[in-house]
Amino acid sequence: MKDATITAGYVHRSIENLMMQRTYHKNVFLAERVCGICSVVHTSVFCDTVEKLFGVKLPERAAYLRVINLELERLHSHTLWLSLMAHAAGYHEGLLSTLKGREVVMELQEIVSGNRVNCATNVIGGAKKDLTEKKIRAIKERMPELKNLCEHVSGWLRDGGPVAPHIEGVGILETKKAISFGAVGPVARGSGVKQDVRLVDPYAAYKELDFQICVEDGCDVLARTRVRAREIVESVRLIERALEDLPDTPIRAELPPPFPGEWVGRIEAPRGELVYYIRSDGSMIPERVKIRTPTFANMPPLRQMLVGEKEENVQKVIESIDPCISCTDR
Amino acid sequence: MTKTTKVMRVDCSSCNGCDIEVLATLATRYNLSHLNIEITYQPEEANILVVTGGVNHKTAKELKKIYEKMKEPKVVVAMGTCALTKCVFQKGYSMIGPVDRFIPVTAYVFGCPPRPQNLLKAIISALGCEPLPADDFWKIPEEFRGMIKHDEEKCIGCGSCVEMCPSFAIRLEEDANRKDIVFNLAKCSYCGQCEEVCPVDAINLVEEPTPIYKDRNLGLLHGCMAREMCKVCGRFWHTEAQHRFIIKMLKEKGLGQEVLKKAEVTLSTCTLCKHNSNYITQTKKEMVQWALKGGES
Repeated sequence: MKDATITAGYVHRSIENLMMQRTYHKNVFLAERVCGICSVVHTSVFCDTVEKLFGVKLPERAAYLRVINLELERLHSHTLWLSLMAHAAGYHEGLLSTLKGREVVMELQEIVSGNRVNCATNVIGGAKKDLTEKKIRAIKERMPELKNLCEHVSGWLRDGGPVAPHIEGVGILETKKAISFGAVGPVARGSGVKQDVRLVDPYAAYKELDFQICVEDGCDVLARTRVRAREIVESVRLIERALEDLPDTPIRAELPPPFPGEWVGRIEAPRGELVYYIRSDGSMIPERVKIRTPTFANMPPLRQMLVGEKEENVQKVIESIDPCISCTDR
Repeated sequence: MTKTTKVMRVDCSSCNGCDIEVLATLATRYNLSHLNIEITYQPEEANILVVTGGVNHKTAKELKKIYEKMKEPKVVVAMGTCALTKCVFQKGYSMIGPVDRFIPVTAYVFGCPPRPQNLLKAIISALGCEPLPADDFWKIPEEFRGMIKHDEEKCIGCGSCVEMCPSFAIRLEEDANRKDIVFNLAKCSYCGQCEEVCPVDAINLVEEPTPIYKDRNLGLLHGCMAREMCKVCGRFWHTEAQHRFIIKMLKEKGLGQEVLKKAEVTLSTCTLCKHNSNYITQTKKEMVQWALKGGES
């Protein structure tokens, strides 16, 4: 492999342009459809940015609900990716069994929000629907199944298992390069960089909840896979903790009239740091919305990984940054 | 048994939501293999094409190429609201879809994204055979946002759902003596915003999947409300229900009889008559008198 380049535009849907034509409330649903895999993340960061721009304080219960929804999404996004990784490494049973385990998460999302993919749980200033006792019980009942899923994944990821030998030492990205080329998310954490927006700039209720940041020093595809496998365990723990401490407050805040200003909001998406920039001119329609997605930030490191790699490993390396073309093209 | 049917998925600028649902349909739980259906990535082998997304300039060319390469008989399943009507991306400069502008479509699957069960149903119905799923296969959880149910009796025709719909799926048509509200399920993104903003709870998204249609223009829901006559000129304008609702709200706020009487007059006079000079002079006089009295309501 001598060099790599990008051809874009196949999934371009003119979202930023459309956002500048519609009101903030309608834009939440447009943000949701930037990406189908991380739909909750996009609405959360959009709402978060607008809330901070107009000085709205998010009610505590809504913040916890956001954490639960975000972690459920990280869980389903990572398991989907892990099953694809198993497939890329030639372990077809892993693909099917992990996808089957992922259905538990999808069913939970459907129970919690009313739709499997586009949850529509967030609105500006809070959450759309409250988590009733019945729903909480439904999540708690299925917790063991989620833990089984985590164990299953770490089972096929063990040393000398069906996947590990195929991806060990493939797609090396040294710690220095990861920092200088601006890698984000699991790609950076797989190269030994302790970088996580949940830690450095806490949003929603992450300040009150304690959790571990998973860092691996392998710098290869296996390390990135293990980071994600450990993160799903952490996500299950976070959901458990958030359900225990769920405060009893209203879920909606009152919204002030919009005024001119600008704000940059960021959130740790399953793929890394997601940044929204919103400028308001005081009307109900934003003057400018700019989105920077984690896959876009991980493109320069990807090129570094690919140069000098064998042809048979190219698919695994590209898969290892979890590319979401739909986010990047918008 | 019959020989295997091969399915190919084409992503025409979708948000990935529908695509991961196709992948979930692949999972063993949904048992695609017992129906002798297989996924392929070669258009030359495929009989069924599952198209997702609203098609932009770049993917339109690829879509046509793939359709030409397909094996006969060609079955095309348009999946998701984007493939039907472009969903929330209507009016976007890069979107030139929907899918049936470029290739003929056999079955339309409604939903944003559709449930895997619905996709499976569409593929099965396109093939013309009967489904054999387990009992809990079609189970839908509570508060699932599915089909729209509109209550004509409750609806006041205020149009707040029309304003708030992110995908332009609701239309309010004014006929001679009635107002028609039309829900286009093919455009609906099932976000539940209309349910939320409705002041009288007339709209509900119920736990029912949308049916599979052969034509995307079939998914229309109608509701009509009687309109009220203007007391002055006899022209029809807002609905009777809206009139009653406003009076009820004013009463709840605890306003006095005189204000209510004024509101009654305002509500039974149409906009054109309100702009009539006679009416304005009369109202001004009344207001001056009211102010002189001390302005108590």
